[in-house]
Amino acid sequence: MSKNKQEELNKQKAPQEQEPEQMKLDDARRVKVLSPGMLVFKRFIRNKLAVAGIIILAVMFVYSFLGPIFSPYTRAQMFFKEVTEPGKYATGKFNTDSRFIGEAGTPVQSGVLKALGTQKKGNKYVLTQDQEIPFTARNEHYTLKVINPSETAPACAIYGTSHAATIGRDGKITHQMDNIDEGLLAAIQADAEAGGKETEFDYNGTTVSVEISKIERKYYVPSTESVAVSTYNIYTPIQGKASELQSDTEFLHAVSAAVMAGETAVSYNGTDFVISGDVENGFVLSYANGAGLFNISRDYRYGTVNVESVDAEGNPVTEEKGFLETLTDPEGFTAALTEALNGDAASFTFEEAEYTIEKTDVEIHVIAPTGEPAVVISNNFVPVGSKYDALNADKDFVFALETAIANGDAGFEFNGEQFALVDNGDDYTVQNAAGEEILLASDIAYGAESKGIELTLDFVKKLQEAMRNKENTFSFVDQHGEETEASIQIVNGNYYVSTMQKTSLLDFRAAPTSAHPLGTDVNGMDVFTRLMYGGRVSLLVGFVVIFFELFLGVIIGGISGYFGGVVDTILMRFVELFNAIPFYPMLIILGSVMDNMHVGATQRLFMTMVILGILGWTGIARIVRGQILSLREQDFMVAAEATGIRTSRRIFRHLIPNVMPLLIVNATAGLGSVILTEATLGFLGLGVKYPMASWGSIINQVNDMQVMQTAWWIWIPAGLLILVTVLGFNFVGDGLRDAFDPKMKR
Amino acid sequence: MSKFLIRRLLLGAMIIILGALVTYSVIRCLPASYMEKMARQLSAGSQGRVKWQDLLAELNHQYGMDGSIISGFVRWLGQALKGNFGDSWMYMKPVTKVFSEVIWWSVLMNIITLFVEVLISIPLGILAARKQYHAADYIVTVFALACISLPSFYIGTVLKYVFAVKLNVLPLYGLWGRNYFQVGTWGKIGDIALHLIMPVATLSILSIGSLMRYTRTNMLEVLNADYIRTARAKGLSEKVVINKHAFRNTLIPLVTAFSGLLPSFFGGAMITETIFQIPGIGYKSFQAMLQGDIPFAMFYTTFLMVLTQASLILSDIMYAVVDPRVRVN
Repeated sequence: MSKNKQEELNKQKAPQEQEPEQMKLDDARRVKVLSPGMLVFKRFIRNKLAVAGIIILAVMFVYSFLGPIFSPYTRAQMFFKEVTEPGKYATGKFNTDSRFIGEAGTPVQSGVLKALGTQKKGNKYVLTQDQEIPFTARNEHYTLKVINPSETAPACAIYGTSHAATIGRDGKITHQMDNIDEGLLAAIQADAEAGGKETEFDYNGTTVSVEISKIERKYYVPSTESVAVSTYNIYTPIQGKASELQSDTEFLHAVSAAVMAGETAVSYNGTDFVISGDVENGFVLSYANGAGLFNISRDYRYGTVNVESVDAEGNPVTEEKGFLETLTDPEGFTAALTEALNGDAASFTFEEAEYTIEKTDVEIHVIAPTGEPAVVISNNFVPVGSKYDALNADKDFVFALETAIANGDAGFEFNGEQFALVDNGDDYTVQNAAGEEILLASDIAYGAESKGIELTLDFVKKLQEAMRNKENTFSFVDQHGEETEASIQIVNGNYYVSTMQKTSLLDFRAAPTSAHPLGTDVNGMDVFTRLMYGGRVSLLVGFVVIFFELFLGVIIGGISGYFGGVVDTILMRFVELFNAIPFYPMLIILGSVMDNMHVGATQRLFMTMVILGILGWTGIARIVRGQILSLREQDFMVAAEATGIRTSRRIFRHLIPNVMPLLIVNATAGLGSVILTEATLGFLGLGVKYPMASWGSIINQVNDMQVMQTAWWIWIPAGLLILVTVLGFNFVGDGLRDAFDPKMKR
Repeated sequence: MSKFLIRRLLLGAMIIILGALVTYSVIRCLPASYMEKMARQLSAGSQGRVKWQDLLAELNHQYGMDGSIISGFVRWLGQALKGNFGDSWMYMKPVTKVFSEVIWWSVLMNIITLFVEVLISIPLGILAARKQYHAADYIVTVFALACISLPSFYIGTVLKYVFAVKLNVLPLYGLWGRNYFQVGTWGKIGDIALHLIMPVATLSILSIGSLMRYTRTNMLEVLNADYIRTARAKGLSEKVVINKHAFRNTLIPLVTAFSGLLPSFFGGAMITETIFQIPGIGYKSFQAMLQGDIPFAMFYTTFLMVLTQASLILSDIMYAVVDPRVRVN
């Protein structure tokens, strides 16, 4: 078996083995001629570490420069988390202080309290019905009439006295009431002439009180109208239709369409509404029964004209300028437009330009001759509220109500309207003639904790129930129609209601999750994305600085080396001077100078690059000078000089290419150290600033002990990226050095 | 030789003065927030009877900050040449006093670091050179490159995280523990030693890399030299070849490398000291520079420049001393 196979194998091998044997050892075909560049490349890729370095750098570049394109997040995007925690919702309190409801500025409160002792609930001071207490407040005379004598909820009405007339010593009238009755005035004058000492006299059953001083006599008559009512009760209007409807877009749409169509009535969900008014004065939407609901005004929302201006950061700012502001005669335009709208015209002419009016269901668009929308007219709704809203601030209504409560009546009349009063035991409900509940009167005060909270009627009822039954929890329907659980805490007689509320918190220092592979940092930004943008800055700084250093170094080193002599001496002293300046102290001082000058983030990045370049070019200048000094003396330069090539060509065609390899090696290794320096500056807080990021400034957060101890994902990855990248540059630099100069061992 | 020395010294002095001028000009760009702070304090002390702006002008005059940069610099230089560097604004003491209080901590730290560094990197460098292109060589090379590529603040923080936070075996920062004044002399030394472990480790890791590469490169050059082949040919043992013939010749360039260490020896390690809050010259001057403490910053930068020039001159001389073949000039 073996013999045949062996022969076959030999036959197969033979042609391959024979061929080289035919060539001589120094046969030209044997020698593969490689260009010098190819030679370097081959040597380079044979070096495992160098290839590893290249791969590392490629990955870093893709991560930093392409990563942000694919990242779902932006550079400085902050993340928030929703947290449900008990939050204060409202406060309730059993009202034990009198409320005074009266005309604005009625100066009675302190006077009333004085007259009644201290008017507090539970006070033993008991008044009998219709008892009158005269008292004086700020030189005005008042009478207090007790409406409700019960100890638990006394209500009082206050009557003032009117200053009828003042008569001076000379008998002249210095003050006189507007509608004073002729008979009363005569009586007063008679009393003044008599000059009696009595402090009051009777006129047709009215007691006129007299205040006598040395220069004048003042006469007062009791007023028949109460000026204020005092009560413990709090009134809650029982309807909230206006605000409910205002947030109902379908309703608004229907109303808008009706207004635009010029209709006077609209029906929504079986309720009829009436629209009155006109374009110029605005519309009013009311219930069919006449209760006002909304004021509708037409709002001119102008088409916008963009004005390009630039802010301090250099970003364009778009300022919205109304179309009307661009006109020389906006009033004229508005007048023309109103006329067109009233006449239901499809277009109108203003200042020789033709404007078209387009109506949609909800809005009217006015189109300028250029075809651009110039003005948009839409409707704004302002709730008028129910007429019953006003009632609980109306002292006369309150007076009628309180009197009915005091007398135990089943109802009362006010302004010709009948109201029924339902006694619920602890509180009362007021119904209107139609049997609708309009008001809840109770002695429990309440208030929302913050602006966004609108307390619903249901809440008020449930709260009062819970407070009376001494319950700690209750549930109610809130302003969004959601069933909500509430708990009550009692502190010093205040009932604090809290509900579970959703709040949005900055999701900072969050541990890694699938959404944030490296968690979030102290500003709630995604670390993985921040690192990409940080890498951009770090790598960019490295490259820009190195190119800057190369530029300065090659020019100054080249001049110095080529020309030698005095030029060389001067330039080298210059280089030594720059070399002598301490690197880090200088960076720190310049960093704090920039801090003090409040340099912007972008400018600061450029400044940092320039500073690093200026402080770092000397090394390259020395290398170039040394290399050129030695090359200058070599034979090929002598030959170049002998052929009479001009100087610039000698430098750039013959000298510089020979310096190139060394420059490339040094630049590659230098890139790593520039990145390190920049990172160090960032760490010290003197590098690029927010919203920019660099790997160093990301690690800067570790200066907060808590970040170091609990949030490794913020600072460990950034450091590893710096390490790996600089290592990559060093590997490549080493590999290049070996490849360019095989004699020199690594 | 002496002619060369004199010329070199003169040149060094000139460079130091010019360098100080550059530093001074930059530092004067800092708004003198210290002056403003002091003026406001004084104004508050007088219950606002004296406006702080007036006080500021007066203070600026007193501290020589009102004139031009050049006149201010000449004034500073004149005082500095007499050895008077003024009072530190931040530490409220003469600059030289602050300096003499803190410098020895930096030097101590650097001496220990130097020992650790030499003990680790020279044997490893020699090992790598002897086993060129073997696994050991690759490991050492990658290790050395990694050390060079590590940012100092990162090593320091990682060490702190591992040993102080996670393992809790070393103190987090500072130079003294809270029981420092209760323990005896040996206890004090132990306490300081414990506190110095991490800073020294950080500095060593930072400097090991370059020294290791330096040793390796020089060793390789020497090992390829003819006289080593001769020594081997004579039949000398490998130990003798390496230790006597090769290593001693490796020392020549190393000596110059060491003389370059002078600035870092006395100049302190700014970042490491700051991370570990070691009250050395680096930490103190970093704080002072951030605060715009002009006298201290000027002193420190000038001091560093003097050290740099001294180390350059020293390395020139050392070359001649170590290798008689080198002619000065």
